[in-house]
Order: sequence, then structure tokens, then C-alpha cells
Amino acid sequence: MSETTRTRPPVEPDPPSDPGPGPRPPRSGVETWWAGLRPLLMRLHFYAGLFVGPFLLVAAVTGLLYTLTPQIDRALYADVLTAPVTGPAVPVRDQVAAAMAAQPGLPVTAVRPAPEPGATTRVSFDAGLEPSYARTVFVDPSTGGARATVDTYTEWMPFRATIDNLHRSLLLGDPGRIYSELAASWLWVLTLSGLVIWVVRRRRAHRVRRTLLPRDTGPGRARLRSWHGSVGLWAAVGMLFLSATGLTWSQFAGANVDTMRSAFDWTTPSVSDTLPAAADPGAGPVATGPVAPSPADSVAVQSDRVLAAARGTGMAGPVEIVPADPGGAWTVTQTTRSWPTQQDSVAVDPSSGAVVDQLRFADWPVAAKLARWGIDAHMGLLFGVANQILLAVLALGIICLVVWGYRMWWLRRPTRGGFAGPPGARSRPTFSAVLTVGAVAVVVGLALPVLGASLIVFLLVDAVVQSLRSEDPVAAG
Amino acid sequence: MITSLPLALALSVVFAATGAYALVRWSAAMTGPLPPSRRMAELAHLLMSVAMVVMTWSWAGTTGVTVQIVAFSVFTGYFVLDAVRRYRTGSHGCAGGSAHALMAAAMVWMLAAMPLIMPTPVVAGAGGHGGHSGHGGGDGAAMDMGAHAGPAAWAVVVTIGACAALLATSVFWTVRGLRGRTVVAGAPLPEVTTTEAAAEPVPTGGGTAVATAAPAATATVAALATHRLLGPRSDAGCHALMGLGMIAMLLAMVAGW
Repeated sequence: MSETTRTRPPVEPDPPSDPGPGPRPPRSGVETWWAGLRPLLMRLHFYAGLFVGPFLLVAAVTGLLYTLTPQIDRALYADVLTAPVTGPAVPVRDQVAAAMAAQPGLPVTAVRPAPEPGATTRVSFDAGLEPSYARTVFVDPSTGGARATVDTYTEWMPFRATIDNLHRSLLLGDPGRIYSELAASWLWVLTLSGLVIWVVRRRRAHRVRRTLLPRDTGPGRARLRSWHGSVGLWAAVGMLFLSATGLTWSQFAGANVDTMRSAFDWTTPSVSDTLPAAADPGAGPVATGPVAPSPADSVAVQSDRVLAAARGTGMAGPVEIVPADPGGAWTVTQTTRSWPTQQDSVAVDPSSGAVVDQLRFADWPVAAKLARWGIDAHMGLLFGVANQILLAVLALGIICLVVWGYRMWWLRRPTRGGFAGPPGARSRPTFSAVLTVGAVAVVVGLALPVLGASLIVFLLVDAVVQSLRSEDPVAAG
Repeated sequence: MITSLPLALALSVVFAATGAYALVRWSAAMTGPLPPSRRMAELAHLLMSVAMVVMTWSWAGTTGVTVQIVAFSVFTGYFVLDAVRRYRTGSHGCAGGSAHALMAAAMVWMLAAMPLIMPTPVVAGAGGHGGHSGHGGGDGAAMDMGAHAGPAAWAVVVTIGACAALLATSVFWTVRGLRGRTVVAGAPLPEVTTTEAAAEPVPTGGGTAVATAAPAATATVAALATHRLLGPRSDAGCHALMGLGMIAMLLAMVAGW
């Protein structure tokens, strides 16, 4: 695109353009390849950063907020999430019955018994809210009375749900998810291109130190570049991790990830909620099969029975009970997402309390376990406060990288006005470098559609600009 | 999308070849051997080829198809305007620009009319995840793209018309390719403005936008090979192949192959 002619002094010359005195030694094949690739990577890093920077900035700021939500949630909703221990806990069936009395007529979708003394029991209902939202009644286990009713986003309280949606979709619903997918799709491109540019960069002295650590001396832009490069280097692994895990949530790339996981049998397994007699049509009449619950055998009573059956299998810790449609088995799943992860699940016949299926987290496919841990680490759940701090530092790092990037661009603006183009714009990428990167872009663009589409938009604009600039009368073949 | 495996494989090979060729030419337009003004056409060829390969095997979903329709509509508009401009200024390339516009328009039609001309309904995966809390619960449910009452007669007629137009452009490109120049060692390159076929700029390897009659005697074997690869004959051949591939795709959709 635009080329720079003069920039504001003083700046450090780009090392590759500084061969030094004397004859240049012959280049090796790798050096020649790099000399052709470097200008392309510089342009890619520059334009992608310029274009995606605002999206990354928003994602990083909202992500930083998200890391603080567990503590904020606990403070904001202390009255709802906790209850004074005034005696032994009443049976779960009584707690569920109290919740059902508070929301008469609504079907129960999940029950989370209080995980520890002082915590409340959650009973969620299908109130016809938006997907993933539920009306949840918080019950005091000691008194068995409903303490509060809140519309929750699965297990999250409203504040966390808002920040979550802000981070994911800017509160705009599905159309807004494109912003986060755009940021996640380009983050790894920016990270890898920046990493290569920074590590392979020629340095006259203190090569390792200047690669790993920022400089606190020298002219402004060189110092900024040093901070941008070295902080980016340290944050690279984290940014690649955030990009990869973020893409699994995304709307379009996420669908491709799902397809890939299904193809390789990497999907998250689940227990079967089919009762044995229902699964075997030749088993004869309903004598041993599921029976419709009597009025006395209500959801509340069944909750108690199912929980007891699950505990009987050795399932300890916080769990979630999910009722099934009539004739199906209920599932009980451990909900501990911090290390060591506890995600065992069982399926229980609600009428008899018989365990009909069981799945241990230890038996999950490795890919499914990695996905679980990756997601929980991205959300700051896997390692508790340490995880939150690490994510917050990473978010701050990304914010700094984006701001420094724009600052460097601003400092490079031509003295005669206008905007600066990519650094090293006078060097041209070679044909083979463009061909190779182009081929990679086609494959990646198919796997990550938002990246592909945004790349097409950019190339279209570039092609139109070039076409308008050109006076070539024989352009259209 | 194409039921017949041999046909799907054949179309994939054809469009993979045209896509690879377009990628080579686009890279050349980005780095110098071809003029920058060629970027648009080569980008269109590349995207069209990739889209056709994808279309052969799967349905891109409502959003994906919409994005493609928008992109190829932009290409169509660009090529129409370019052809009109060339016609008005009397410059070369009007016919080529028109053929490009027609192919891009046919692509838009193919994408838009898919549900109307196919005997069986197209299906898309909804995909995606429910968000942070809902990870692992992504719905991969299939989505029927509305009620399907079989192919619409008017759409089939339009499709056949598009096939006829594409066939005409393929013949145009074939003739242009056969009449085009070849590089013969020791012979000077002909003038670029003498024939319609010569409207294609000759790659010089030095970033020059317009061909010059440089003596081929000085060309290296590599330059000769590059010229052959990027030259007007192979380019016309690629266009003809793309046109024929699109005809095959449209007919396969209508016939339900």
C-alpha cells in the first residue's frame, strides 16, 4: 500500500538493510529465502496488526475484566451464594420442593446441591429464557427455604454473564461473535509473524539479551520496538494458547473444530440417558422397564434418590443433577473444573435409583481431556487465583503490545504528512515467498473462515487500489 | 454437493489445477512479473477455484454462501465496469473483461440458485458453540434449508442459459489460446498490441507492467519457462478449463449427479 519516504528522526536502521562495510559474503539458501520472506512477514504483521488491533484491544480489556469476575461475583452476590449455617442441612428433596414452590409450574432443568457448608443449593428451571439462561432458585440448606431467585447464565451469575458476553460478542449476540473470532483468528498470525521477525532479527551485539529483554536506552521508536518485541516474545505461548482455545468457541472456525473432533473421535463423551428396557425393545412389557412416576414420586423425591445413587458410586464433591424426560435416565456429573479436574458422570434410573451407566473422567479420550483443560485454563478456572493472575498479566501484555504497535506506527509517520506504510517497504518479497504464504493462506482461510473472509476483503481493496492506480491498458486479460 | 464420486474427484482436480495456476499468477502480480493491475482477475480466479472445490464436497452454510455471493458480486461489478471502461476508451481487454464478468456472474448464480436447481435439499451444519459456559455442548445439528419442492423450472432454464454463455466464453478462451503466441527461443517477442490475444501483458521478470519486445535470445531457460507458465496461451487455457468446469458443475447440480 502506501510507501514512506522520510520518517521522523532519529530511528535505528532496520538491520537487514545494514550490511556494513566491505563485500557482502555470499548468502546461503536459508538466508536468501529469509530475505524474500521477511518483507512479506513485515507487511503481514503490520497490516494485520493495524486492522485487528482494535479487536484485540477490546478482547484483551474485556478478558482482563473477566479474570476479576469470580471475586466480584462473590462480593456482589454474597447473600445469594452463601447462607449462614444454622443447623444440619435438610434433605435435597425438601430443598428442591421449596424451590419448586417458589417457581410453580416450571420444569426443573438442573439441581446443584450445596457443595460445602455455608453455600446455597441451586435449583434451575426452564423459564423460556434465552439459550443457556435459566431461572435459578437459591435455597438455604439449613432452613430449606428459598433465599433468592436469579436468572443465571448456566452456572454464572448475571455480572459474570454480562462480562462473558461482552468478551465473546460485545453483547450483540451471534453477529457480535464475529469480532472475537476475528481477533482469535488473527492473533496467532500476528504472534507467529512477530515472533519470527523478532527472533531472526540481526543484532550487532548482545544478541540473546536484546532478544529476550527490552532496552531502556536508545531513541524512542527503537526502545518501543524493543519492548514490543521482547514482551511479545514472552507472551507468545500464552497468546497462541488463547487463540487456539478461543477459536474452539468461535462460530465458524468452532464448527470446523467440531467437525474435526467428530472425525477423529475426539468428542467429549457422555453417559447414555437411555434406560435398559427402553434401549431393548425386545425386553417385553413394562414390568422391569421405566415407569411413570407417581405424584408422590416427584422430581424432588427423585432428586434425592438419584443423588444418593450417585454418591453410592463414590462420586464426591460438587455435582449437578440433570433430570431427563419421562422414561429416561437422569445424569449426575461432577462439576469441579479446577485441578485436579473432577468430571465423572453417572446415569441413574430415577424410579429405582439403579445406576445404568457410568463414565470416569480418566476414561475420556486424551483430546477431550485437553479440550476440557484448555477451556478451563482460558476461563481462569483450572488453577484458581494463579490462573487468573496469569491471564490478567497476559491481557495486560496484549493491551501494551497493541498500544505500542500503534505508537510505533505513529512515530514513523512521514514528516510531510500522511501515514506510514509497513517498515522495510522498499524491500520486496520474492515470488516464491508470496506463493508459499499464499498457498498456506488458502488452506488456513478454509479452516478459519473469518480469517479467510477478512483476508479476501483486504486483498480486494488492495487489488482495486492497484487497479485504479494503474494506467495499464491491457490489464484485463 | 456432487453425489457422483468420479465426477466430484474430476471437478476437484480441475479446479485444484486452475486454483494453483491462479495462485502462481496472483503471486506474480504481487511481486512483479505480472503487473499489479492483474491482481483482481487472478484473485477472482483463485477464489472461484477454491469455492468450486469446496462446493463440490460440501455446503458452506447460509452465512458462507452469502459471503461468497457478496464477494463474487463485487468481482462481477468490477469486471463489468472495467469492460465498459475499456469499451469506451477503445482499449484492449474489453472482451476478456466481459468474459470475466460473465464467469463471476455465473458463480453468483450458482451459489444463489443452488437450493432452486438441485433435486435434493441442501443441508448445512449449524456448528459453533454456546459460549464459555456451554463449551462442549456445541450443536452440530443439521439444518434443512427450508422446504424443498424440487427444482424450479425457471431456475433450470436460467441455469441452462448460463451454461450456454459459459460455453461461449470457453470457446472464446480456447480460440484465444490456440491463436496466442508461443515463445520460441531465438525469436523476438511480438508486439503486444497487435491482436486481442496480445492483450495479455508479457511477463518480463523485472516488474515491468507492460510487455516490451525484449529479444528472447537473452532469456534464460527459467525465464522462458516462467513466460510459458504465465503467458497468454496457458492463461486462456485456464480460463477455458474453468468455464467447462463450471458448466459441468451446473449440469451436475441440475441433474442431481
